[in-house]
Amino acid sequence: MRILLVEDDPQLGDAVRAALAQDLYAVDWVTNGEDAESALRAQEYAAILLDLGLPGVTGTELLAGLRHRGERTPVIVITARYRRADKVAALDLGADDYVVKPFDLDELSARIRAVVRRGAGGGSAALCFGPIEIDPARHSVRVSGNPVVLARHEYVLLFELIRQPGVVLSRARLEDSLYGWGAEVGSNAVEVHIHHLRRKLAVDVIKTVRGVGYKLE
Amino acid sequence: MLLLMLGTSVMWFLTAEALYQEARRSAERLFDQEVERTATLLLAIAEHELFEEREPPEELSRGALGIAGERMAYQLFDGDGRLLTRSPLAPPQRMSAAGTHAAEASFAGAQWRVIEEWSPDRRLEVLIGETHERRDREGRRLAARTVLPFVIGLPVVAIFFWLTISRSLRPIEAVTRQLSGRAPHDLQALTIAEAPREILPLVVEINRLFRRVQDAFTSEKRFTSDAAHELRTPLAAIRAQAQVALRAQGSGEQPAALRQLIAAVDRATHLIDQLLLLARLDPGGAGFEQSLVSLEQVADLVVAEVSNAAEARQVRIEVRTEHCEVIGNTSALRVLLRNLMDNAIRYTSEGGRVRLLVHRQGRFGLIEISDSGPGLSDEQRERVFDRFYRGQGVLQPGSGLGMSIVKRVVELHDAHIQLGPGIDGAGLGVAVRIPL
Repeated sequence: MRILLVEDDPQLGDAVRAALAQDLYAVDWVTNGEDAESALRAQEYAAILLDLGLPGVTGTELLAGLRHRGERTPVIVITARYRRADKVAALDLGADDYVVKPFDLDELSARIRAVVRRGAGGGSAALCFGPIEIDPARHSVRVSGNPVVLARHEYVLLFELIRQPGVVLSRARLEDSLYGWGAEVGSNAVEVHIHHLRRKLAVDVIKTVRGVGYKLE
Repeated sequence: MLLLMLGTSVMWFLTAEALYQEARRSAERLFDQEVERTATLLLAIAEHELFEEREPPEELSRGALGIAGERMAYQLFDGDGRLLTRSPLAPPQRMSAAGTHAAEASFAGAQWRVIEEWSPDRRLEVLIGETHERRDREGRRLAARTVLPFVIGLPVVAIFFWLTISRSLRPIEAVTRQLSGRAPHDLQALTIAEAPREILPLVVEINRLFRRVQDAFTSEKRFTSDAAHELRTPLAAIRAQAQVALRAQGSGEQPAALRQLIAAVDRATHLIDQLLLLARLDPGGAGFEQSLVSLEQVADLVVAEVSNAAEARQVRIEVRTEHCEVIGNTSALRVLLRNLMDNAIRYTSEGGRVRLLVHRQGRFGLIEISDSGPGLSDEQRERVFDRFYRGQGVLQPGSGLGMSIVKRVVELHDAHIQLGPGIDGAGLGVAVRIPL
């Protein structure tokens, strides 16, 4: 999943980015409101992590702005303000969740998953399709009950496909979910990973839609 | 106030006593005068009767001389001292010695005051006596009547005093009531609407004290809330980096994560130092000592401190100073210069220039720091002194308190600060004018 991280503190931003990358998210990290708006115009994200204490355009202004524009991406606010009034204000302004600094990175990761799940209609955390079952928290995959070990990028692609079963995801879209800015993207990366994925799953659920992309069926 | 009443009463009684005595003496003199007049009258009548009418002395007692009969005793003598006639009460011997105008005598079982008068041609002499008993009685009555209003006046005046003083004290009691009915931390100003002129200064000073204490409380509250709030982000950074480092065990990423961790701790430390400094410079903070400060020396010190940071970014520092002394606090001014120089170096582009000027301008010492960086927009210039405000594109470490501290030091020195364009019209120029 691709996440937009809006945080101006260099050390905190770096740590969150690193930790989320370890959790197999693709993370775009910006340090101010203007860059965040540019990123949102150019890219789709599964979720936005928004720090309220930004220089220039404040986090609150940014949040109000994007909700006003009809942006429906789930937003988790991360902030130093711990008072009830601030929490209520942020949630009412359109945030989907609220995390107070300092926070636990594992907890943040779980909240991101929850918020994305809610956006997709809720339901159990486990994602299933036919014989395939994914536990997103543990990044574990089972096929017909048998555990299957996938490489990072294979897992991510399967995850993206299983989130929207029956929907065709373009190659570009799949690439976006694999890499943040600045990462090297091999020209055939997606095809290679899909190939490996199919082999490991051993069930024929991934369909190629010529000239467009892939879907789970 | 009781003491006042007591003292006044004592004075009052002493005065009443003195007045009484004086009235008695006046009465005495009056009585004497009355007797003298009677004596003169008697002499006139006697002279007429004896020398013009040629009546024998025995006849004198009856008739005209009878006027003095019952109240007074008299003796009439001729020029040689021979007794011519006397009143029934008067003794046969002289009531007083010859030549004494006024004397005391004792006869007929009473004390007498005796007055002596001669006729103008000294042919006749009369002695007239009046009993003390009667004089005393009359005298006391007279004196009492004189002093009575005075004595009655005492309770009246006392009541008047009491009322006036009570009324004057009432506002103080009101103020005391207001204060004692308050919660311990209530520092609202006292109402001074009905305070009389006398205690107005007192109330004003009390209110001023309240305001000062309030300021101290406010600044302390603000400090603790600022500290709590602003430290959360650096702490979050430390925690997050530690977690990343923990996860990165075994992989090659741990040293980098730990270095970031240390950087986060340094930032938090710097922030705490800035907060403490700002708290110390706050109105409620500790005292502020002033001495003669030589600006160019402070400038040299600060330039030495920041030279490493400047070198790291390949920023060139130009310094031009002349001797300039102001009255102020050395550490505060050093912090001011340090913060401005830090900002200038931080926000100017790599390889840029920073210029520091110190010189005298009229009645002021002028410090000018300009950089060749991107400068500030008008909106930013307005907000730059807000606490924790940080400009755009800030990836350099900074707590956001630097300019608040600068502003505070400027205020403490009654100085002015002005923002404008920097080197060659670009960047930011900061001018601080300190009175000499």
